[in-house]
Amino acid sequence: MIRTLLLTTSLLLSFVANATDDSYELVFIDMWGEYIPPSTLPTSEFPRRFIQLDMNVSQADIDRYVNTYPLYSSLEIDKDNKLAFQYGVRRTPTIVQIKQGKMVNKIELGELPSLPSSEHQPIAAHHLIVNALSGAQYSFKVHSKNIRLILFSDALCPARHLPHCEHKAMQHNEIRIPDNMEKLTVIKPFYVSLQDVKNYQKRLRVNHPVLFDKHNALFRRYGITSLPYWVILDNNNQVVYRSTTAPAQSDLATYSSRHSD
Amino acid sequence: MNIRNTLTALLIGLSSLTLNAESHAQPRYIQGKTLQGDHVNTQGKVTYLKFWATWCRYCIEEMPHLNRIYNNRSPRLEVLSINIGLNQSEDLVKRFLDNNQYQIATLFDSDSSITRRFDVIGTPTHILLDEQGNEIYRTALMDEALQTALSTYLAKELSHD
Repeated sequence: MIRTLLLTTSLLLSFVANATDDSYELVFIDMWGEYIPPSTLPTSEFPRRFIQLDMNVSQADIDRYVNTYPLYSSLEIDKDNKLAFQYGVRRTPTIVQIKQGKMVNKIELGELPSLPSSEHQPIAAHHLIVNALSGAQYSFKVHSKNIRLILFSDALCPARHLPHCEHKAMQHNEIRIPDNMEKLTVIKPFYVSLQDVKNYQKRLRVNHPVLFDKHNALFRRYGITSLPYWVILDNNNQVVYRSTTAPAQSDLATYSSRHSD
Repeated sequence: MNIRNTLTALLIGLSSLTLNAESHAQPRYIQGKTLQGDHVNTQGKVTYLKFWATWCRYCIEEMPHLNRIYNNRSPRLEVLSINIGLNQSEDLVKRFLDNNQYQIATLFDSDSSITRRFDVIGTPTHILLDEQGNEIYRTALMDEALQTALSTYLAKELSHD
């Protein structure tokens, strides 16, 4: 009886001690911002939880990020930004110190991003010569030997802003083209590297040339605002078909006969 | 034990009901003062909202088009851009709008309240609301379905832009 009482008292004391020492830190980051190694953050005696704002992220993005930066292995998404809202987090990184369930300090470490300056630069003629991953060059400013069937896509696929992108990439792979037509995939440059484009090609088993539109020139020239998106260009690089849906297999022969010269 | 479980279940159920009731009770219209200094109230109007930030490249790419829509809207359409305020400041957003000569009416969501009310977890997000504040359409990037839906509220030369 006494032993049980002592054990219970000990457990209770341990609980109270833990409860009063219940201090930790939430470190809010944005993985799309500049990479900040945890080692450069102010040191702390308290355990830390790394929190990603719930903005433009999926669990797959988190997994890729953690794979690249293992120091963030505990990174979790702040579902619906509940914690960020609760603690008034408006910048990243921000460290929120919690003691006994209450915020006792908030440290904003981030600086505001600089304003974008190059998004609407005019398209230069040489930007219309685009390299494929193989190194081959494709010109969109001079007469082309072939009609071109293009899927404009994004190496961030799958992502919230790219509805059905994996399915559409596979669908594009399977389209059978006439002899005088070539099939291409053109990748948007936002937030991706050449390696990401290579990964896209491999992951989605793309069986035709993949072009990396580094200057966003083709997207701008052809007014591609939603993705993925199909376009057929005639020999003079003029649009003869454009849609979020693939052209019917039976119509391809008709498009391929539309030589504009 | 059973009573405790039942009470716990009841409490969880009640709290979730309260949360649902709160989220449905949120008005689907916006009142506030824009960065341009004008008061807006979208209640009773067909409203096109765009949520964005200056660090979002897709958002910035769409801005000239959004500005054209704003300048060519009919009186039946309210067009409002909502800067989500994360890693942003009012001054920064004003500077961006001024530098690019964008006239689009813009609200700065300083505490995320608008962003959360409309369940926005990505930028850009485009939302079209009817007069009652019901969501007619939502998309991440400016797609053709949105442009078609907006076209009835725009001058003819822009309706197929």
